[in-house]
Amino acid sequence: MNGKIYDNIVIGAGMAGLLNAVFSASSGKSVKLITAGAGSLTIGSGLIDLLGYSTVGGILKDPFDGFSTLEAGHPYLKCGRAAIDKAVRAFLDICDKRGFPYLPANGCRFVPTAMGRLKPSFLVPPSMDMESLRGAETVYVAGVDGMKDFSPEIICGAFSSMEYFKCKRFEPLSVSLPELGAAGFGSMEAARFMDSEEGCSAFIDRLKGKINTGCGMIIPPILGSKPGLWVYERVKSELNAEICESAVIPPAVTGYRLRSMLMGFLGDLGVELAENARVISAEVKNGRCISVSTAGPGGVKSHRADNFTVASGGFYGGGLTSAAGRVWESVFGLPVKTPDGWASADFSERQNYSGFGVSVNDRLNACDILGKPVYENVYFAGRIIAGADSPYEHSGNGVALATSYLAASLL
Amino acid sequence: MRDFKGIADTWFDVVIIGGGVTGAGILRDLSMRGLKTVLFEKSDLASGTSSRFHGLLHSGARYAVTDPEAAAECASENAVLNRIAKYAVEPSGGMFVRTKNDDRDFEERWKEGCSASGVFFERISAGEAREMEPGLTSDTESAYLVKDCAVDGFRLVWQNVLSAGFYGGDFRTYAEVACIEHSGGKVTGVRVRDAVSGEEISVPCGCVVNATGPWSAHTAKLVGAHIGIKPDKGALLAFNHRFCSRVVNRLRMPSDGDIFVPHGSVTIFGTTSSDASGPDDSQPSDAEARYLAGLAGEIFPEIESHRILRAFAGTRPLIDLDHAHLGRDASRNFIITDHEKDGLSGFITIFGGKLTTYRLMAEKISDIVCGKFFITKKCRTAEEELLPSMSQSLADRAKKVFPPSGAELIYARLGPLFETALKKAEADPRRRELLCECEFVTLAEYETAAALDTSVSLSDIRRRTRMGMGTCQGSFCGFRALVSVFGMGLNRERGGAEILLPFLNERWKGMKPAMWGLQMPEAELMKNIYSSSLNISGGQPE
Ligand SMILES: Cc1cc2nc3c(=O)[nH]c(=O)nc-3n(C[C@H](O)[C@H](O)[C@H](O)COP(=O)(O)OP(=O)(O)OC[C@H]3O[C@@H](n4cnc5c(N)ncnc54)[C@H](O)[C@@H]3O)c2cc1C
Ligand SMILES: Cc1cc2nc3c(=O)[nH]c(=O)nc-3n(C[C@H](O)[C@H](O)[C@H](O)COP(=O)(O)OP(=O)(O)OC[C@H]3O[C@@H](n4cnc5c(N)ncnc54)[C@H](O)[C@@H]3O)c2cc1C
Ligand SMILES: Cc1cc2nc3c(=O)[nH]c(=O)nc-3n(C[C@H](O)[C@H](O)[C@H](O)COP(=O)(O)OP(=O)(O)OC[C@H]3O[C@@H](n4cnc5c(N)ncnc54)[C@H](O)[C@@H]3O)c2cc1C
Repeated sequence: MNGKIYDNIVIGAGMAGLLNAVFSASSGKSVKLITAGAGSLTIGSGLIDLLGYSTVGGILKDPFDGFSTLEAGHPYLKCGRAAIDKAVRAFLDICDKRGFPYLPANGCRFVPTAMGRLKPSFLVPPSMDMESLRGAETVYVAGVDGMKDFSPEIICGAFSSMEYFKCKRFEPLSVSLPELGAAGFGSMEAARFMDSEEGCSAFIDRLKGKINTGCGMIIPPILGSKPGLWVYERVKSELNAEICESAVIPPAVTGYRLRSMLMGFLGDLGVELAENARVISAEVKNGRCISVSTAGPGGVKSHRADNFTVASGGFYGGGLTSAAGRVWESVFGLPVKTPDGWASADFSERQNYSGFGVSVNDRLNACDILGKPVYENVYFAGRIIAGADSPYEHSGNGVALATSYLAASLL
Repeated sequence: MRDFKGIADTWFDVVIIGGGVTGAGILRDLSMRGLKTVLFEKSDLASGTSSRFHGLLHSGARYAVTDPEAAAECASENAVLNRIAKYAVEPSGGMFVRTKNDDRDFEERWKEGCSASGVFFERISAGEAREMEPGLTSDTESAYLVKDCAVDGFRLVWQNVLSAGFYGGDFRTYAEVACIEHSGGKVTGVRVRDAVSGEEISVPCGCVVNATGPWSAHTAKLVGAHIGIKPDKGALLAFNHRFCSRVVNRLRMPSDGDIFVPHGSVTIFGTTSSDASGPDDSQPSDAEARYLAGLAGEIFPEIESHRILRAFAGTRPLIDLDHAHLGRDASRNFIITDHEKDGLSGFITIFGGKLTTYRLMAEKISDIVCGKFFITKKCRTAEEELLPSMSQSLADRAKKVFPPSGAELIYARLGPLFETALKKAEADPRRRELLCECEFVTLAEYETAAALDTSVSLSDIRRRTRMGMGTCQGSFCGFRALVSVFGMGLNRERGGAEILLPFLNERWKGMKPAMWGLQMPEAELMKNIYSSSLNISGGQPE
């Protein structure tokens, strides 16, 4: 038994867990973060979507325009607009402070994807903002020779046929970086190479002469693996071009950068970290949680705190477990409501299971049907909360941000 | 082949409708006997029942009590296919298991039935059975070894068609026979619609064979003939785990959920029997998937903790002799109808039977067709291998570019096209990279399959290579496959999403009925990659 009683024990190191730990530690709380794995941050884009699509259809210019169409029970409605605004500001502050600024909040920002689509997001690093290419008539879509999972032709083909881009010309281009080998490498290897002086100059040199000054470029996410904008700024200024990184299939360099930034901050804040530790049970007494137990390389351990924040994700993160016809929350075994028809046979459609999760009240405690909290010192944050079909409405990291902020402010 | 113009108005002795195993077997047989024959398939080869089945090469034991004739046929054809189709058959062997909940008397009748039909069986103790198959229920009371094997329907169909090609047999896919032309009571030809372009061609011929499985009644209707078929749906589950090293059957009166067939790293479990609304009714319901999953646990109790990759279903063309015989009780033996009796000569329908007995069925109908052309050559399909062994020189070359077990696998999947893939890998080391890590598909193999004119969609390439059939169900290799299609310039005006979405949708459709347990994280991941990150179905901003 570890004797210390923390102010807050956070379960999960995805977007919600990391942010909750950062927010609560920044306000002076003693925090321990316990996590089984890395969550979805490193495989997602690191972009913070707030609400890209209204539930009645259509891309939103401003996420807040869609709030009136949210269904009762949506996590944003539990948080309220004021808390969401504060959460956004708090996030941007952290980014500035840590030298990895995201762009100020200003309606939906579009990011190009490897699929040749535009993705409506909200908080976006400057290297991924399509808006920066507005002035460019010619946009080169540049891939790296032999790199996996990126095709300039897919993007050029799709963007060339979009009415939205009718004044632009898209051209595929290929850069060769034989230093990385002939094939078999992905954007992560390329980004690591670009961290080095040698890699960065190689990339720039091999593009010079191939592109006109003042053009735009769409590239895979390879502008360095570390949180910061120096690779981006340097490539941009030396090539005299506007550059935009795209969202790709995992692993995602851009999500990895955000995670590294947050992990670095946690270290500086003195947050204790237990990695590769899965919470397997909780000790509860009189409507409060006293401690949780973990199983990990060092055996079973118990951890005590005054408050617990469960940011254990959904089915992918491990926060939800299911058997045929039944879903439950993995740590406390809380039952999860599951309307019939978990999934639609049409992949593109809304999926009911995406909204499965723990029902919470507006203090983010799990609650029964009357809204009465089950454990008043246990808060939930992120995907584990019921009510948001995030892949459909494009709200995943936005919900994680808003709820992790609110949960921290309630401590 | 997809070239339609080249065969428009060209005479063929025989036109075969249907590119399942039955049609493919007939194409091979007739071509070997010297008849000029072409096969038309409305979709992809092996996309009907021949890829929506259990994958069991029957030893005959399953039918020992209910259908002795089928049992005997299966027993002898099983031996034939083990000889001629070694690149499609996995000689795993099989086991029959009776649990304490199953009828003891049936066991006796079963043994008598096997002996009477010449079906091999060998008694082993329950303890031995559980030693050989450690996951078996402790309720096991008695067990027997039989000669069941696993068979790959995709490969079997392709290998028949490609073997027929050596004898001049021709085929077209995405070629729907829309009309059968006749005059004066004699078949004169068919009209074939290119399902991709919508264009139609005429192909004159002397004889038409209807080998359209559960669609046979629809096809016969094209000439106004009636065939009594009752479509019956059978659902199956593909588990992402090999529970048993051999086929495991439940020893009881044939019923739902009796059979586990291990295929490579997965196990196919089923089946069910229920009324189907028609031959296309092949989507299992969520309830069917759940029902089956429950039954699986009765034989392998640990099964619950394993992921179900997907559920799928096929339709059996059961013979509707009279309304007293329905479902599993109806005979599964095959029927050949020469429509000369209906006043139309040169039109013959074959349906029913089993994949295991396809060669025998093809031989029987080919004998009749040959008779009409006064051809006396004997059937030789049981003597010659579908795909000869890989030559030593190819094997030596392959060793240098593919891992040892990989070469045989690629050869089995690509057959005569193996050398094309080999050359690609030899010429460019990049082509040795894996496109699909779960199913071991290299870029060289993928590109070889993708370049064929029969590859109209990513699903067609999947059926040839198994890309996308593993753990990720296409989440990762799907995008990689798309990148490769663009790299090869095969996208032809089509957008990326237009090519990839139907493939994802098709994979999703099979995952959907079995969405629980370990399937959920994978589903959530796949949906997030393509919707959250890539916004695959997204439109454009205003
Ligand atoms: C591939 C992909 C792409 C995405 N793209 C985007 C995007 O572009 N924009 C966007 O806004 N959103 C995106 N999302 C969605 C977004 O990532 C999630 O909605 C959000 O990050 C959820 O974060 P979370 O912290 O709640 O959960 P997760 O990231 O799932 O993290 C859960 C954490 O809890 C841990 N955990 C679970 N159970 C236990 C336990 N018992 N004990 C200890 N630890 C435990 C896990 O190991 C993990 O660290 C994407 C998601 C994925 C999967
Ligand atoms: C659930 C289930 C499990 C089974 N399990 C086993 C097993 O384990 N072992 C075994 O031996 N047998 C099994 N069988 C039986 C076996 O699958 C079938 O006997 C065999 O696949 C039938 O092949 P076929 O070529 O006759 O039909 P199909 O494979 O269905 O081929 C008919 C083809 O005709 C095409 N077609 C239809 N109309 C037209 C048209 N107008 N123009 C062009 N083409 C057309 C269709 O697209 C289709 O591809 C099973 C069957 C089912 C339903
Ligand atoms: C022996 C055996 C082993 C197997 N092993 C595996 C395995 O290891 N892994 C695995 O994932 N699966 C495995 N399967 C299952 C296989 O992937 C398929 O699920 C199965 O063959 C049924 O086909 P399907 O799911 O593509 O059918 P469907 O989803 O019905 O689709 C068949 C094709 O028809 C098209 N189609 C279907 N309905 C329509 C419609 N209404 N309109 C237009 N087009 C339509 C689809 O796009 C698709 O191309 C195995 C199957 C067998 C028989």
